[in-house]
Amino acid sequence: MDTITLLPERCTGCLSCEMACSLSHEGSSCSCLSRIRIKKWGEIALYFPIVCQHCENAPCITTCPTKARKRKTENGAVVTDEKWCVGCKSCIYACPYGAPVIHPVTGKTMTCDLCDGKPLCVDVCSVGALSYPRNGKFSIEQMMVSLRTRPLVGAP
Amino acid sequence: MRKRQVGKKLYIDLTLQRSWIEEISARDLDSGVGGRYLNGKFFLDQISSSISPSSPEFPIALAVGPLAGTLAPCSGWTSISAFSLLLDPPGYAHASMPGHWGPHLRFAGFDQCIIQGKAERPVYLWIDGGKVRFEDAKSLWGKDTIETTVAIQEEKEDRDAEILCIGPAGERGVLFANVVNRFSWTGDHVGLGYAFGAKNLKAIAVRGRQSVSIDRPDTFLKLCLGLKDRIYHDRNGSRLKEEGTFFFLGKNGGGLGIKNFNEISSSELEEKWKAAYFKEFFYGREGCFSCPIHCGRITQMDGEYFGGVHLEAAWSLGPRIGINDWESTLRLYRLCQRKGLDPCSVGSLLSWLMDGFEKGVLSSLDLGHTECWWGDVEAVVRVIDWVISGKEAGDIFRQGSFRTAKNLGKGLDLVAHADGMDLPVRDPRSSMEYALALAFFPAEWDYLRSIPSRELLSSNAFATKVSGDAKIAEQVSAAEELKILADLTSFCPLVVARLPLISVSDIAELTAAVTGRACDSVALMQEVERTIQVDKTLSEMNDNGKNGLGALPPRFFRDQSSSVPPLSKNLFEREVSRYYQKRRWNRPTKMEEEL
Repeated sequence: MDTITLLPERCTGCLSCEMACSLSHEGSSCSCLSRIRIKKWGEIALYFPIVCQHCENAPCITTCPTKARKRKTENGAVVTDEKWCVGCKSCIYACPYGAPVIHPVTGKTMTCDLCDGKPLCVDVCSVGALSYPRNGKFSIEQMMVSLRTRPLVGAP
Repeated sequence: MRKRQVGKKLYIDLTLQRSWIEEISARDLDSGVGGRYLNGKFFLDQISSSISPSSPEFPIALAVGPLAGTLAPCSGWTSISAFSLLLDPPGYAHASMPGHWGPHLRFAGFDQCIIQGKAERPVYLWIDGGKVRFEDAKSLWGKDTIETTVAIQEEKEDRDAEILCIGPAGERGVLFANVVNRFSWTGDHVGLGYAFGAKNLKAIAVRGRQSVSIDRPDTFLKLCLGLKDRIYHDRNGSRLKEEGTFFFLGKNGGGLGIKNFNEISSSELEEKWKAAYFKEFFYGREGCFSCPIHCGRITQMDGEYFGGVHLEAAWSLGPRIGINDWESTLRLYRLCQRKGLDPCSVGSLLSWLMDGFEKGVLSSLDLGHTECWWGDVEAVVRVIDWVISGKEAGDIFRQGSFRTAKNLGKGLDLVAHADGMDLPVRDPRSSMEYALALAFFPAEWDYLRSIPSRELLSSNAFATKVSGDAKIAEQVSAAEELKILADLTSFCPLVVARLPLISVSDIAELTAAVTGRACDSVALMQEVERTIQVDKTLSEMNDNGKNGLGALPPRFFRDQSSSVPPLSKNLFEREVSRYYQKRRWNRPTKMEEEL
């Protein structure tokens, strides 16, 4: 299953991914419009990205009372069909990652749709906290980014 | 459909417990800039010189530019303007603050937040949904910056709320208290924490749920991706990412003051000091809003992970006061961070106390019946405790090194300052460019200071504007213009002025794509020029222009140390005069007479 892979120890909390997601999906900038969320870990300086993992046995699909949560046939992404979503938040409670969020304007849930196979959040993440292996494999470019942004303990 | 931006200013009166919103004028909105200019203009229009700068009635203005809260790389900076009692005479000061607070103010629907008056009892402000609530801060009073941030987030049940708060130092009237955002970020070098405390204002908490409209999202996205790619592949950008602000050490820096500027650091010493940090204490990186560089360092010590350690804070609490082990430096840094003290000013005060004590200028009686030798960590902790609590000599020390020396009538010639403001860590004798920048812009951090590094100059876009042969004053003024442009648009001064990785035309294109208004390099630089004039007028307000800008203490022109040759007074004065000529300013009579 294609999904965005997370390496939280590399996340710096810059929110570039949130801004890119919001801009590409909504044409404007706000964390509240983003399908990916960065959470700060309590009072210590560590950050944690949260994004839909498009689970094989997705509990959001089975829980949704209106069958609004669906898997796209093209890339396997689990998305919300806005026509059917009633904003009951069942998927939010069912998700083990807490990934679905309510759209502040429509009141319906939204999750990552993998940007038609080219997730923009991965493109703008310059520390390698997000990566997108296709069919479970990383590309050469993705591996290069990962190498360039290795954890720097002991350097220089 | 095109979505045009509408700028809003949020006015908050703490005395009346009232807030109101005004729209930014069409002229200011069309100019495509905000931040520092908006703040300066507010102070110019509203403030009369008859009000005492120590009055809590003096306002604080926080503003962002048109690119804050967007994907534009490194666009998370906030411009803060206030009257600083650290300046001599006290006066208008501007500081640039990194972090996340400014963009979230934008998400809350505002470009500028102006705080006036003084609350009767301790309060914190809760800005959400376009409204302001004055919340009781009685239970927060006395809490440190980390406890305050967590307590507000828990009270509001929102971990994403951005908090700008003070610690006990600000509450108790320490002149060099600072404000802290997200545990780590502070740009405050002007005593903003004191201004918060004087107003009984514990914190400003913002919850942003409004989007920032982008006029041409596709164009803007393309521009942002191009710039992020450029920064990612730039050699200096990569090194800044690897080393954070410690990048400005060794061959890219050189010349930091040791033991109250009695000695100057060598490249080897700086490299060794840097390597010790990375070997034992470095854990990871932390980024400002929408930053592809992430120059913030996360430090690991005793099972704690904390951000905010940067070159100047660490050096101020390290070699500057004769401490060479990182563990002690980081413990002191953590103490300052929690209590809401500016580490640079703390280092400056302590280095002056230690220098005076070692030279016999200050006695143990002056120091509150204690001794204060170079590198004495226990004495440092004791002095910090006194400064915050006001015990022993703390009441005097909390006014900062310059005013303490003035009050005691001792050791004034040992104070390292510019216009009363504590010097950051680089020695002015290390380069004439730096000395000039320091004399004209005393409130800036060193790492943001727009001095053109000769090595970096040849490899960047700035070289097209000012050649390496240009006169020093011209180089400094051109670099400062770029710094101000960064302040106007909420960009990081590092990537616009210091390295620079983002050009004026890049900023113009981004601004036009966001605002939908025509914007070009020439128009932006005209706004920079206007801002310089506004800042100049404000800086002259308190002394009626008698003293003027561009002075350094005499100690840097005398041969005080065998390892550092003094600055040439003639050369310095020549460059100061050239700077005045370049700006077409009249040099104050007092300065002319001193020549």
